[in-house]
Amino acid sequence: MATLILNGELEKLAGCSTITISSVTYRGFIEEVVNQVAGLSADRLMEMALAIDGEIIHEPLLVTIPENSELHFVFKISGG
Amino acid sequence: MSEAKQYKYIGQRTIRPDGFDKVTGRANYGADLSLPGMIWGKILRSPHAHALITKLDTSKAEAHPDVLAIARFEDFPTVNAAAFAEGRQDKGLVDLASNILADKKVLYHGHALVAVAARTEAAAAQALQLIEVEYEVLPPVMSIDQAISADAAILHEDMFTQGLAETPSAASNIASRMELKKGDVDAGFAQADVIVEREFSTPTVHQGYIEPHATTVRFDENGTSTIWCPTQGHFDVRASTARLLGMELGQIKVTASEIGGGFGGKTTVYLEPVALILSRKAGRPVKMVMTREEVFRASGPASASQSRIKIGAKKDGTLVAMQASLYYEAGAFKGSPMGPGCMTVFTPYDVENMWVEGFDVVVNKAKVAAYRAPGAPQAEFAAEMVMNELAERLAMDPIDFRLQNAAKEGTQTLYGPKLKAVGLVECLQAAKTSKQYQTALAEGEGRGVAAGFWFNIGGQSSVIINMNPDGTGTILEGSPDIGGSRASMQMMAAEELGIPLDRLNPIVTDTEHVAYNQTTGGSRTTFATGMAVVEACQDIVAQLKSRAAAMWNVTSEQVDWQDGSAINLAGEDKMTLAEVCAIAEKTGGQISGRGNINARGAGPSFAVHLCDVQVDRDTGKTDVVRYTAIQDAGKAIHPGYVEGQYQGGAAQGIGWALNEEYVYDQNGIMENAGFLDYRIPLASDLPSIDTIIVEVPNSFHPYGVRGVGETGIVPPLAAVGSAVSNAIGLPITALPCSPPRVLKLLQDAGQ
Repeated sequence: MATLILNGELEKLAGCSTITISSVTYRGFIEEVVNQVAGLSADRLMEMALAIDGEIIHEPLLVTIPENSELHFVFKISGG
Repeated sequence: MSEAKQYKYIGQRTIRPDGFDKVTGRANYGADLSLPGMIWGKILRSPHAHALITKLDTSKAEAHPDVLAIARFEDFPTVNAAAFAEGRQDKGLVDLASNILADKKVLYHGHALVAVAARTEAAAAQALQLIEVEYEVLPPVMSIDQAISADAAILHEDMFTQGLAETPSAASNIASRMELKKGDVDAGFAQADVIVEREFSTPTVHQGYIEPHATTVRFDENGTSTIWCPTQGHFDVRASTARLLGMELGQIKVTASEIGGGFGGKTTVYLEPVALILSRKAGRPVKMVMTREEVFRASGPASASQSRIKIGAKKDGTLVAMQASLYYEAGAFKGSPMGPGCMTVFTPYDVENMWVEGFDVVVNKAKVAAYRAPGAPQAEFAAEMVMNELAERLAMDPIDFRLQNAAKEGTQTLYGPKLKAVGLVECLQAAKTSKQYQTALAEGEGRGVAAGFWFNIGGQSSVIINMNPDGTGTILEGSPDIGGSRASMQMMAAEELGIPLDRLNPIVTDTEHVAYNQTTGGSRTTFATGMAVVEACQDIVAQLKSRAAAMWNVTSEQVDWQDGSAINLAGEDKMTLAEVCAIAEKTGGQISGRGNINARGAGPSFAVHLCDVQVDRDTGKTDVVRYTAIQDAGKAIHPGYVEGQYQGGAAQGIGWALNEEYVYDQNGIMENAGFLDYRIPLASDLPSIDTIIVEVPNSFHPYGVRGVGETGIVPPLAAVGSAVSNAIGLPITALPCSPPRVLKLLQDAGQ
């Protein structure tokens, strides 16, 4: 099981600060989050980067979510 | 990890491959291309900061004998009225189009209205005078305070604040609000022995690139239209232009010229789509070049900001709570760097309780663009000023105070993930033992210390390396070189292939010769494009081994690649890279390597800057007398370029802190739109900026690279601000610390 840690607006929407995730695929993970948090859309979540154990991944579609990993949604960063 | 390995080229100060062309004047910049039959485009700009366009008549200009085309907002087929009626509009695209040619309203002084193309530059300028425009002038909204006041004029009637708990019923100049929290900030402050709370402001500033925006385009109705321009991202110029004009990507080729500075300001489009409309209508190539005044008035500056910071600590120096409210000006359209500001403001510190809110606010100024670590300098200026005041209140050395609370591997950031290995502690330790910090201040001097953080990013990069039969090769990359990336790519490729540097020629090619590359920005290129180069080299080495194996009648697994040669592990044979390339014709054709990646694992970087100043109490003028920039590079591929990035960031940050600001009159008209009145630092204004390269490798990169281009502009604002504050013995809460402002502070204090 991985743990998704929520912050800011997502935490407010979910009403909790963590969600336990069993999926190992990104799409399965998104489905799990959307099913558990009313008002969150998959499209909105997929616009964000995903941090897995501290590594920020801007396009996580193909990632495998490791067992016992810590997950965070992170706003995508561009820069100058 | 590679840090213990001895490299042949990585870490050396090699000759830059673009150096000769630049110092001899052969390098071709944005305005250098001219084409047969070329005509000139010029833009009519708004004389008002905020107004409705009630009449726009171009008929007299169209009748001018030398005018060949006119472009207006309606000429963007994907955002015009027809697209709106058909529900095809995209709000982001509408904002982009409305910024480069206004629709029904002008939103800042200098906002583009109409473009004209004529046979000569003078005729185009003359034709602009023939365009009749009438306005209903509206009150300009020129500051965050004005924009968020209850009676503010509203810039966009369809803008409702996003990110609020309840959906607002009234339009607002606040485009969005965001909030981040960690722990319980109220409980944290309850534990504090000392709390400092202050408000700060920073002005609108420009990146100050020397080369104005320019482009030469040729529309080709039968095939591929071409765009030549100085840009940090020619693939994104292509994408934006194609979307605005309803064209396919394959119908546009963009070539990035040499670039005379960008710093984030050349990551969007202003002229290119307009010039292509004009070229399509006129059937001629079109050239457009902004004047310096147009660059200041109508290209994207960096956000002005206002912030309120509150930090609490225990008597022993342990930070217990940090809180911030950050307001960023977006300019005329939403999209300030409020998000990264909120995410970076407290990242240098490992504190249990943090709370940050941010606001994206529209005002009647040019739409902001990125500027090195967008959003971070403004936010971290405020936080670091409070950190220094807290250190003073606690009677602690400011570096020791930071060391006690420094973020390190495993620190949970406010924006979410835990940090991997980072080098803030190492930077602080290097600062503490630096020559400057060991130097006693002279009478009247003040010293400032500040830390800074920036994420750095990875992203998409594509590289092709073509080998020639004589063993030379060409590296085709699609990342415009704004900070020495051609040298870095050449060095990484030479290291991987094991051949001399001068055997490889790095070229930034156009959008047709490599696959998509993200814009050069976010300090990504040496990291991400470098990884693509390494991948392309590995592809080449695999082919070289296979070709040698074929010659020796062994398997590829029986061939090793060592120091630029194939070694037959099953015998005594050896072939150099040039020898393998020479027989490529017989072994399957020429050799070419490819690296197409979406790079993950960008390593964030921290910096610590030291600034010593002397303030003339009679004039208010500040002289920087000593300055040291210390930063974690992960691994410095080319230390000379890395030091240049540190010094450049420091110089721009010193300018931001001491002199730079847009000055507006009561009508919202910028009064200092030129380098004589908008004062960037000259070489004579600066001391020799010392640098210390800290190397804590990024484990995700083959050579340990982190980005280095942006972090260096984050600490200077507070390092300088605190130094000035310490020199005059008065708090600094607003930038710039220009002579009139400092003099007023001194006079108000009776000094």
